[in-house]
Amino acid sequence: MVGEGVEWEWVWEEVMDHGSMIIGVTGGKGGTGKSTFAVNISSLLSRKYRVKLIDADVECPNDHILFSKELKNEVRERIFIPSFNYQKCIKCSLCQKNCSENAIVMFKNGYPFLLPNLCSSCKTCYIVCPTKAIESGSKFIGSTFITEINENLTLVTGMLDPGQERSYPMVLRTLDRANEIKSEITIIDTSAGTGNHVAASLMDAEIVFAVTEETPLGLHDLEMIERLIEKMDKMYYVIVNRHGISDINIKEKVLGKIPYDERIAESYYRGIPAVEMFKNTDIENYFLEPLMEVGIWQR
Amino acid sequence: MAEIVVASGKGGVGKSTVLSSLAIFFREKNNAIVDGDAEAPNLHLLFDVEWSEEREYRGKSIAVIDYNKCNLCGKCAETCEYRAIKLKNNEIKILDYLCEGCLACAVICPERAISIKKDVYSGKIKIGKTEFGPFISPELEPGQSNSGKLVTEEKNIARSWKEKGIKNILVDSAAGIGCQVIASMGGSNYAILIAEPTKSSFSDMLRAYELAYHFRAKPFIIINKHDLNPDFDLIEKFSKEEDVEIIGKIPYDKNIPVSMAKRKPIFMYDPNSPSTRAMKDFFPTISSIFD
Repeated sequence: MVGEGVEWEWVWEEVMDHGSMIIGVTGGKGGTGKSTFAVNISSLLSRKYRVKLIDADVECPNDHILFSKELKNEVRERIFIPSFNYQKCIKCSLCQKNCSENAIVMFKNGYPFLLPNLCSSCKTCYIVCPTKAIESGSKFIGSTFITEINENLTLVTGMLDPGQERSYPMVLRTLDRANEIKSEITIIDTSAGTGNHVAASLMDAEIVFAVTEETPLGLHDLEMIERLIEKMDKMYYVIVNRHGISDINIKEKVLGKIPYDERIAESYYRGIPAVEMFKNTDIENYFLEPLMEVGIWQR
Repeated sequence: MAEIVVASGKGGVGKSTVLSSLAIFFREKNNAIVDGDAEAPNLHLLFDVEWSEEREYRGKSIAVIDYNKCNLCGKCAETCEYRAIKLKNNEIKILDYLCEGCLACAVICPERAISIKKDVYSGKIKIGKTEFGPFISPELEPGQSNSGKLVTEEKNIARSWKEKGIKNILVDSAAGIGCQVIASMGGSNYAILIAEPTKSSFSDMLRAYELAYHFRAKPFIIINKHDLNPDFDLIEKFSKEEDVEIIGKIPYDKNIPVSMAKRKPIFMYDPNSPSTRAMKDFFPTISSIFD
């Protein structure tokens, strides 16, 4: 096993000094077991620490389903869109010229108007308008929720409204909402993919676990997410899920291998974390081992 | 020309398995095959693609600081809605893997120290041939913001092949319901929605269904691994209530990961495996959706 604990123990002490540690869980490919891993380590860690789990897979959040919980404490989230005050507008067209998304349209001698679906809410128009004719409007993009899982574990969920294109601002709203909750350990479950919305989710993570499966498809996407994590200069390790489904055997940066095990599949169907459904069995070790390797959990 | 998109919301529930099988089963229908997942494009790994062309994609703009002019006032970092500018210990940095390339920082900067670099290399579109039709695959650099635009470009290439006799476009969409899936669904006539019999997969499929509904793509459902959780009846109930046809059920098949490891579609790897046989049985019911 890699890691040896040395470098990691230091990290652990360091982060415990400032009171909290942030762990990112990602993977590139969808369906490799990110949520399964995140939910199970959250459940385990909540036996010792105050934990918050952030479901930043805002396009398809599922962590609550894996705990069989209804989402609670909904807040509708909005982002900026320009609202034009035509009494002040002098038709200078600076807003339109500076809009990188071509979301502001002006016909000849007409006032500017917005194509709201294209707007990225960057506020450039608001800043450049010389007559303050652009006021702060807003549109809803989704909801955040705070759900208590157990007395030591709180789930913060972001959910994008279907039809909204931009998951990045929704990820930021979710991370902000999570600030309401105090915890010693924060676990961030990202969406599939390798775009900037995934980078945004991992921005503050101190350790990243990339969960993958041993198929050429899993490996291909793992390589892409590794490139992103390296760009971000984060420490990361690889977790192999459903080990044994093929004869591919990856080794590099691997901190744990969770075998294909029907009990885990069963716990997934039933909506109970495997480490709870099969408490005090070898199942716990699959998820504990990587945590022990990085020194978060002592033997 | 018919555009058929395979979507699921949740990742890893069998989109690529179904799409590769459709492409093989309906090979006589003059299909173009499009991988609509620019952030994790891996469909090409299942096909023996003979690549013939690469088109550079320069869709990204990023902000660049002229450090000779910058006086570290930090206004740009405060303004950036994407939190892509970090000011720490008298050092300011734009994180290109977060930057959306808008102009907010450039217009707020009192020293005019920030400019926007346009048309930055952000990936490529690869075009090739397979024995089942032409193939288009994206390849985006990690940390990009514009994955949906690349998918739209791919689809436009496939659409331009109408004169060359391409009659259908098969799109394998990304996981989720964001810009890439919206780009995949936009203009599609049919959406084949894949779900496993689990609450998570069902919940995510509903979100993909809402998109299909929004874009007026006629939806169909395929249940994958239906035998692993036979008591799960939410998908059937939904199908009846919303009048969305379940066109078929695919059993769990342990040969699928093995076939993937061999980089072969399950249809080629084992024509008699349980999943292949199931698909051969029900695929003819949708042959009319192809042009």
